[in-house]
Amino acid sequence: MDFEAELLAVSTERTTRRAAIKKYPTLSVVIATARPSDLSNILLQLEVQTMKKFELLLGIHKFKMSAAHKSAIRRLQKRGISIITQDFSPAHTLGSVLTSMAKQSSGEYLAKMDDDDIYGSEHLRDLMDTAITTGADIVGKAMNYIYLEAIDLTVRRMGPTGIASVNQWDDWVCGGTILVKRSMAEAAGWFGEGKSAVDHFLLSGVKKNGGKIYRTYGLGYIYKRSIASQTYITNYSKYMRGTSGQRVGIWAHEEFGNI
Amino acid sequence: MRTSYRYSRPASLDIIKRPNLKVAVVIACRDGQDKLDLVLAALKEQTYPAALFTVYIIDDGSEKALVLPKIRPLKTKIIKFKNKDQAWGKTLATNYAVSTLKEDVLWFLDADMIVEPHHLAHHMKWHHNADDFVVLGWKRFVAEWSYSPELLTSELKAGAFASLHKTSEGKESWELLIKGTDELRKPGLESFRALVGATFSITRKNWNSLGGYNPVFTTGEDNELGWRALLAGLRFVPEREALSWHLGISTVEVHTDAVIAHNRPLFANHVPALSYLRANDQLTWAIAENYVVADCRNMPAESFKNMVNEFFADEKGQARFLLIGNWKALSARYKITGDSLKELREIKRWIAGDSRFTCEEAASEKKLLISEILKRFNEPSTPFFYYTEGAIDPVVRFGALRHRISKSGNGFEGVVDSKDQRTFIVYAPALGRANLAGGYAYRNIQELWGMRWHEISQFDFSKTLSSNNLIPLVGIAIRAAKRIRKPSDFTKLVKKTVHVLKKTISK
Repeated sequence: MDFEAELLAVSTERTTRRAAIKKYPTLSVVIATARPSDLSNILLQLEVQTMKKFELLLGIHKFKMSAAHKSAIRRLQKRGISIITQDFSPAHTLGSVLTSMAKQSSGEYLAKMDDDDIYGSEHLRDLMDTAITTGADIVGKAMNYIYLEAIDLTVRRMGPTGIASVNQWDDWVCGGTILVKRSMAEAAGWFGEGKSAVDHFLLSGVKKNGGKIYRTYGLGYIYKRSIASQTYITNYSKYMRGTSGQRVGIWAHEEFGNI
Repeated sequence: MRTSYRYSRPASLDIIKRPNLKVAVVIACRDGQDKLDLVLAALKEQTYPAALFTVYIIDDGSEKALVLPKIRPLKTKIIKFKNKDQAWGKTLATNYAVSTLKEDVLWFLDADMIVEPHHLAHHMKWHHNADDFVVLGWKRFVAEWSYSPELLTSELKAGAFASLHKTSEGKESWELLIKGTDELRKPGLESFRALVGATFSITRKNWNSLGGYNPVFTTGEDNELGWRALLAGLRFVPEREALSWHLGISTVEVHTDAVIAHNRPLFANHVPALSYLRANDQLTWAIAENYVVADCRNMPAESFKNMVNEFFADEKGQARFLLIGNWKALSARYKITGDSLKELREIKRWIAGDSRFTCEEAASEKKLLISEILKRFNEPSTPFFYYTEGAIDPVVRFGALRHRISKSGNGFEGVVDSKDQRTFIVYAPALGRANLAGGYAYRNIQELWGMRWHEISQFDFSKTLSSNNLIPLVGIAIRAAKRIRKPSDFTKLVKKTVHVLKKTISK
């Protein structure tokens, strides 16, 4: 499927799903952030989400918010987003930050977003649409778009199988795109207390409890592979196998919210 | 940003009705007042507004000083190039004179060229369209002429340019080059020959950025400029409507062997595309075909030697290297048994006596960004640039990268290995066009030329370029075959072909 066909497919699916939805359940968004610049970026992306109402739970890990961050948060609050922030010391793990914030959520659904990834404005609403219409316990996106900072390139990967395949019941979705029923997350022990593999903890926990996981299109989300700031180290060359598109820089399109 | 893909351009353009660009018509001349008088008479009849062009005649030490004839364009000046022991000839005279000019566009015209009245207007329609064109006029050679400047003027006024000569000949090899490259819309590296000095125009800005003629060339300076212009990404336009008569058969045609013998060493040194000129010689050439930027931090000495040895195995192409490392740290006290810089030290010691290597101190511990690497690809006569880093995977063959870029037609081909190490090749004309477009050169290469990154296991390193070396030669042979006029020409061609093939294959 080429890019234009994917745009059309997502657009059609979006229209169909939204026609069937009368009211959205309540939604909470949980984010752990350890980098001031990434927090600024993710707040901007949250501000333009087409999902009208949601609750934001921000775990600030190892730094203090600046005046600019606070100003961005006030803008979100004016938009009708309720926000809870909490500072965490370096002694806390990524898992403990996420779990602690998730426990404070009140929404029927819980979305996890990663502060260094790229989200288009339809991201949250597309996930909610998919969760409502499929009845899945977890929905998330395929890894179709990956930005590789070391070569300043976004690769597009599509395929009938594996993590790039779409509209499938499976046991894996991109960690930065998890949308889970709060009750299922709670039963699974949220994100655990670990330093890494927090997404795997939740996904496997829900699966173990009999939950169903659905993976939708990756359009509107770019997984960012930064040079040396990941929570775990793997090589990025593996993302270059079988690419169906390559674009210098961050893939520019309104679906990714960058043009 | 300029948006034309590779060398695409409008199919045709109309002459500009209200032009505004100023032109310097540059005519280098040594003696030959009679022909010059005819040239100036024809220039007087140009339809391009006389107020917008000035003719500069560079007198390159004529025995009898050149003078301005009565029939000449409105603005015509003589610039005397005072010859000295080491300062004489068209190349230096032209560089000197042009350095004093301020016009937007430079039109270089030989002092034996009779141009059709719209000739300059046809050049200038391209320069009004974009600033990256090198426009080549169209010419036919004539052996005889008998008209005076007055008669020529009246003929041109009567619209009789085409009937000035009943018999003429073209330069077939040149015309075949134009035809064979879709009017230079699809030029290859060998297309640099298209730039000939008889009538071509270029913006002064581009002339300056190219640095003008290479002063070591006393003849063939136009072709060598064409090489650098091609690598800089300029678009060559052969303008078939910019007609002209060349008074006399060209020097190259009349004294072919002497001219070739004279130019061969210089072209071998400065134009790597003419690899057959380098065959069987063990010399170090002034210009290498390959320029390699290698980040030697974390590079084992063995990887380094494997890399350079592959390039050095290509005796014709050759290579120059820019090595990035924390070289200053090597001067600190160390122990042989506990040397944390062992590999870098070994590299430095291997290259100590070889001028083909330049070392650059790494500014930080970070890996270089692609944009930072591209800025280091700044060798104006080199057609292929490479980057590599770290413990280069043994499977990497730089010749295979070269093969791939030749096959794909992309301007950039790269691989990333399982250790996240990058190795890539860039085609100079693609980088040249990307730089001309302004903005982010890396993105420009992708959008204006094409690029591809590969995961190392998916790249075929088994193919190298050897057979491709023959392709330009076959083209040249075919073009030469079409010029055969008598049996001795055929014998000559066969001998020459065998000679060139032997040299090429002997690599």
